[in-house]
Amino acid sequence: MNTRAIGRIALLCLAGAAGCDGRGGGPDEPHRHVRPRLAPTDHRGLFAGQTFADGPSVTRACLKCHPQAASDLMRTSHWQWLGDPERVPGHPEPVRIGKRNLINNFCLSIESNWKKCTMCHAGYGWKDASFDFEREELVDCLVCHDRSGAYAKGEYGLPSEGVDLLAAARSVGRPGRDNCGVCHFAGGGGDAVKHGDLDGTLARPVERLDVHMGRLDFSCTECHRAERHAIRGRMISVSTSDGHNIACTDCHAQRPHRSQRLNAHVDAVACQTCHLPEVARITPTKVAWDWSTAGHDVPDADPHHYLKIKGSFLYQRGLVPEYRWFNGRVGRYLKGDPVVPDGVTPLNPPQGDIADPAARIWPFKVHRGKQPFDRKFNTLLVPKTVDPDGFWATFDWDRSLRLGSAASGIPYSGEFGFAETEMVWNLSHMIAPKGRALQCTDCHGDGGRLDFAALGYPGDPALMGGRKTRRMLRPDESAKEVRP
Amino acid sequence: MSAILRIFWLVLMEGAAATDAARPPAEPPAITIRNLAHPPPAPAPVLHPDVVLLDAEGRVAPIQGTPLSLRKSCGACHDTAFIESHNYHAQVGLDEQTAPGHAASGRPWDTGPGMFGRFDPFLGRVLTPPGEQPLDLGTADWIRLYAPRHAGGGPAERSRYHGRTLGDPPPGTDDPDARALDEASGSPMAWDWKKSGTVELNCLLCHLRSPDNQERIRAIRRGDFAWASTATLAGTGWVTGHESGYRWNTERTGPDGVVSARALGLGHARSDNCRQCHGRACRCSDPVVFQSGRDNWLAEAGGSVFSPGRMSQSGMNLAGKDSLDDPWDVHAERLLSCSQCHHAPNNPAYDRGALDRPEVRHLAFDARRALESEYLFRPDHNLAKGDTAQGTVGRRFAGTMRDCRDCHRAEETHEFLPFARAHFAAMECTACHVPRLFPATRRVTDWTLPSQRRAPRVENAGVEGPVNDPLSLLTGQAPALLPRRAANGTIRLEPQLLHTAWYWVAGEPARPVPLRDLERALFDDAGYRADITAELDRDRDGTVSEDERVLATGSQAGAVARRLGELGYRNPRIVGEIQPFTVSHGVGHPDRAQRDCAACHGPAGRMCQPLELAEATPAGVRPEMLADTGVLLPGPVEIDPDRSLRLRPQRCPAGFYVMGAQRFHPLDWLGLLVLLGTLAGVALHGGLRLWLAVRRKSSGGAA
Amino acid sequence: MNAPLQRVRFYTLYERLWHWVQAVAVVALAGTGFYLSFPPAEGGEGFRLAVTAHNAFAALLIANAGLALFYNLASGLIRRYVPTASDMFSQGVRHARYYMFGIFRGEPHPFDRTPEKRLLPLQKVTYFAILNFLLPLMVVTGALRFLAGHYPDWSEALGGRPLLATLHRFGAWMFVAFLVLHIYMTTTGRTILANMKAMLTGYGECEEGSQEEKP
Repeated sequence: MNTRAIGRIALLCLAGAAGCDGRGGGPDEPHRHVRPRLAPTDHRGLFAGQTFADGPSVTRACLKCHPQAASDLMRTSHWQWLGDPERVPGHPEPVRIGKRNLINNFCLSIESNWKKCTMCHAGYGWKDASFDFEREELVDCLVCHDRSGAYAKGEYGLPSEGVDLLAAARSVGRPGRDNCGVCHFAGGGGDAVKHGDLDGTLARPVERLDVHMGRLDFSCTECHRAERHAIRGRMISVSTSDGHNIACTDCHAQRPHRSQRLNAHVDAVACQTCHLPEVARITPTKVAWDWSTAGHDVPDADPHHYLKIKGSFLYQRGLVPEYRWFNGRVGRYLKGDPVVPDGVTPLNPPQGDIADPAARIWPFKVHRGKQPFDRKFNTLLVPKTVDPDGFWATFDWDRSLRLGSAASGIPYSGEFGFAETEMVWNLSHMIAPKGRALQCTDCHGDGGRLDFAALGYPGDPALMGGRKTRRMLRPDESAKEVRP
Repeated sequence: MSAILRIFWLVLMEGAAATDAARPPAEPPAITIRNLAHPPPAPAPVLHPDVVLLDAEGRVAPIQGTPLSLRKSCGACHDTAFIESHNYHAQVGLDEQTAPGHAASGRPWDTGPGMFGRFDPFLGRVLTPPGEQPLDLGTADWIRLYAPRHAGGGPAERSRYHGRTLGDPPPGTDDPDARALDEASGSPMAWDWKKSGTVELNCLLCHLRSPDNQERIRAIRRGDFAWASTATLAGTGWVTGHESGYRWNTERTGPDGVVSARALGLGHARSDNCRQCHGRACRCSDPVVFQSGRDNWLAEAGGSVFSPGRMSQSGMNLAGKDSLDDPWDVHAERLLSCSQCHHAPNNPAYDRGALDRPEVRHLAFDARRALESEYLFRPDHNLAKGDTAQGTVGRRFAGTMRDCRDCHRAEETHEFLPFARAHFAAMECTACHVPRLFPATRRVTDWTLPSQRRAPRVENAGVEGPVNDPLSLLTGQAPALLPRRAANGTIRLEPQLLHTAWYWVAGEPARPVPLRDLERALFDDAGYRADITAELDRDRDGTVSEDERVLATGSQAGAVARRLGELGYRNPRIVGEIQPFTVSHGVGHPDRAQRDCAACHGPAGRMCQPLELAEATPAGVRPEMLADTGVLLPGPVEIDPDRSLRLRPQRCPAGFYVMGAQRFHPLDWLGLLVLLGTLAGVALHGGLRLWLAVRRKSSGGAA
Repeated sequence: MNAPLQRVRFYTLYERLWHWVQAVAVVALAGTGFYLSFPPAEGGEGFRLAVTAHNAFAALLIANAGLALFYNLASGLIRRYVPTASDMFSQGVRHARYYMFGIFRGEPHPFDRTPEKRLLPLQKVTYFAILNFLLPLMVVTGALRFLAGHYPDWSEALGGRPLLATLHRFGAWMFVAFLVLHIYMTTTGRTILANMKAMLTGYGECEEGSQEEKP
């Protein structure tokens, strides 16, 4: 009897300590899932007496001690700029797609424009389509591993003039945000242009800007873990499937809120929707790019509004995302696909709808573009922009499109026009601290940011019931759960 | 020839160059993308049919140029007579008038329980009872003073004497209906009701998306009572004009005066509408910034800010702001609007009669209810309300609102709390769920020595520094937990904010001295009169500073009393009163609720601490609690040596036993005495035994 | 009178068990009760834990005492606890005089304790008062307060919480005083620790032949 009472008290103490007081959701212990950082090996004392004449010579030195590193990387999309064979909706056979062979609505395509585009390739000397993807010494180790901050890449991905390769080699370590950022922050041709949620402000962010990178000083690899250089993560601009991806639930509990009401949103709303109130908080991001106005001489034009070589733009700061259903997969416009006549062609439409149990509402940055297309064949075209014979020197669309067509293999009839397109990027960075997450009134009610009708709801789900209560879900054919 | 050609060529070139130079720098080409953003969501459908704007005679007002009559316009479909008469927002106590001195508040001059007839120390003006002198507020002046707080109808339309429309028939000369005070001279004058008209119940205040409340108030203050409804449409462009008169914008209203409800913005009452009078309440996410003294009634008196925004994202200087992530009021955040708790009693969606526990045993839910159309024709505007100390008007409706536990399952969520049911029975939920309030609230209004701008001495709680200075720090305050007898007779602890007021009364029976006469007593052309200044000026600098502006001593009060006596007031004296304001909004997230037992159960418990009510007590006059609040003070209100006023709770107020908070009881002393006596006896006995035994041993033992 | 001593079993396992369980419960109740009446100003989990502990030990005490009551009633051993008139007067006075005078002179105890007659006269009187007045007072006021916590509508009918609280607290002081006295009185046996040892091991010493034949 004595022990019974003590046992009851002990049980109550444990229950109290575990926070079991009727609130929904299990305990959220994300810190337990963060991998400890391994101590780096100091390379400062190495390479005594060596000089490095070019990038590949550095790589050969790396491979002496890390013989597998290059071949590991060469299997991945950072090297290949292609993914594994994927089934793309509307296309019967699986295809390998990626930055190497896709069209976007920023700088349009790397084909014929390798000089500039491959500045961000994790390799040296990708001049044209004949680049040897099997030569290990062409792998650029330094772009990711240089910790001196003084390494830079130039045209064709070769090290810039005057870069001290020895110093760079000696400084190598675990990649930091600035390593990944040197390419990923500057996508689209400038800082913050492309993604919206990735820009130079994340190099040294304050907590309010991004809670993981600001408060906890996470580097990219904390979430984008790599096993043998296969870095996890997917970007829907260049990949359509969902495999090898990362998710909030890699560290956080599926239902981490103390409020049952909030946990009830998890099945229909992605974490990022509430926890990313806005992107491009400090540096504006590009939301529209009209190539059709390019070519005019406008001295003193604000480069954020117009550039002769590129056309007219629209930038926005503090961008509120657009919200769409997304089940992890996207369709993709491939070379030769038809455009929507007199309308907007989505280049990577998110798949999923309100009835899809695997779909959730995600925040997207939408980039609206107007780019060259072939009037006769009704396909998008690729112009050559770089080099003395590219559009940026000649301002001759027809000539640029012919050259681009030769490189990309898209037939060109000679009649071109400009078609409106749309691309989306799902947003996951610039996560605000939880005290600044969206509140109920930000989505529901007057002035809320969600267009419920466009999402397929008969009315505000807070008042009329969500898709489960209203029996709107299709039976789940595939057992595959999409991770947020 | 070549010269001519050359000249021609030059002219051509010059011309070209000139044109070149004259041409302005090229503008960048505009972006040609047609769809630049997600199309805006379609506007919500509006079911309300088109309306015709009619005047009091039933003619089309915009065409006639006459004031809008909502009674007639809305009355085409809704029973406006019923709405106005079943509406304590309109009646404000007109239907509960009593003879002076018989009002529930206990004040000898009050004639009713609401704004019409219950003295408001925040404003300091008295609705003069019929037939009495001198006149302070006549009916017309009451309407003008209370314009920001009264929705029209009730006493603004109907006489308290004969029940018919004001001014019809013309009132007698002694009738306070007939008189108002001239602004300049302060002497009574006749009020021309034919000219001013009356203020009808203003449906648009609550049922329009963007009513122009400021213009409405201006119209009433000017005396254009009949134009008040019209003025409400000024801000949205249906009507223009100010002092010169209002002109209908006939282009918008069209030739037949038919207006679409969507264009007008007609709809159900939203929280933003309530906010116009009841202080900060909004469904918007703008950062909350509020100022006291701007009719932020709910915030200034009761400390409530019914806003969904996070406190950390407001525009107020709050102590510990970064950690205040939760919203000002969690129900506002969770999309509740005022009218969902304070609903019309016959609203079929919320009708408590149907959803309440039925009176018949066999039914759990009675599906029979009024049709929506019947409800919309005759909505009962005696809205459901809770039971608060300050909710004196329409007391018969107290408690018609759903209580916290009519929606929340408290038993499930309070498993951590020992004896939860005893806590629920003893306290209102707000006692723990509103442990701290951040708005600066008014705690003292002292009219005994007003300033030259007729401002009372005011003390605010919860703020360091001047109250409307954006840099003043809002430290927040914990409301006092006081027992209160509710309308149904149960006594529970509720969080209250106590407001103390002092003012001069005179005569038998007591009547407050009108502020105008107090001013005459205190001021001459230069400021405070010399004799008054002499009494008050402690630092002898010739002026009465803000610190000195309080009647600290009896002799100072006596000086003022003497002056009032000179003006003809018999037996002028200072009277103090305490009005509690029950805290009912501002519930935060559950994390912020009081969970620490020691907050009450302990020597530092909320219930035991002395509570400062005022920094200074004029002339040592102890205030009394008003009679209609239901609050039971748990101890005496005492004046401390530093002249501050404090409430000193005693043990077991009103039968509440708080374990751990009460200290030694006489029986405890007795018990302790017995215990100590036992210990002493035991020690003595044992000690003696030991000593004797040792002694016996050492002396060889005894038989 | 001075027959040789023999080791005799005074208390069965159950009797010792219920005695010590009672002791622990009473001490725990007194401790937690004191904490609840005079909690420290700083908050924390202590108050809540003390409430739970107090309730738990109260349940233990009531169960324990209830079982013991049943046991004594059913077996008839309750006879031992009932003081007779002579206990209260002639024997009691003799007993008291021993404690007031005799014990100081080192006199032998006037009463022999045997397993059958294990309660001395004053003990019978004191225990009677404790078991029939003080313990029920504490249990009843405590139980009523507990009930009032769960059925607050009835608390008014039960005398009101302030009255119950006051009586409960006063009784607590009395109980603690009794505890002090009781522990001290155990030292008045053959040796200082003889009674304590008997209640722990079950065995005590009494003179040969003084034991009655078992019926």
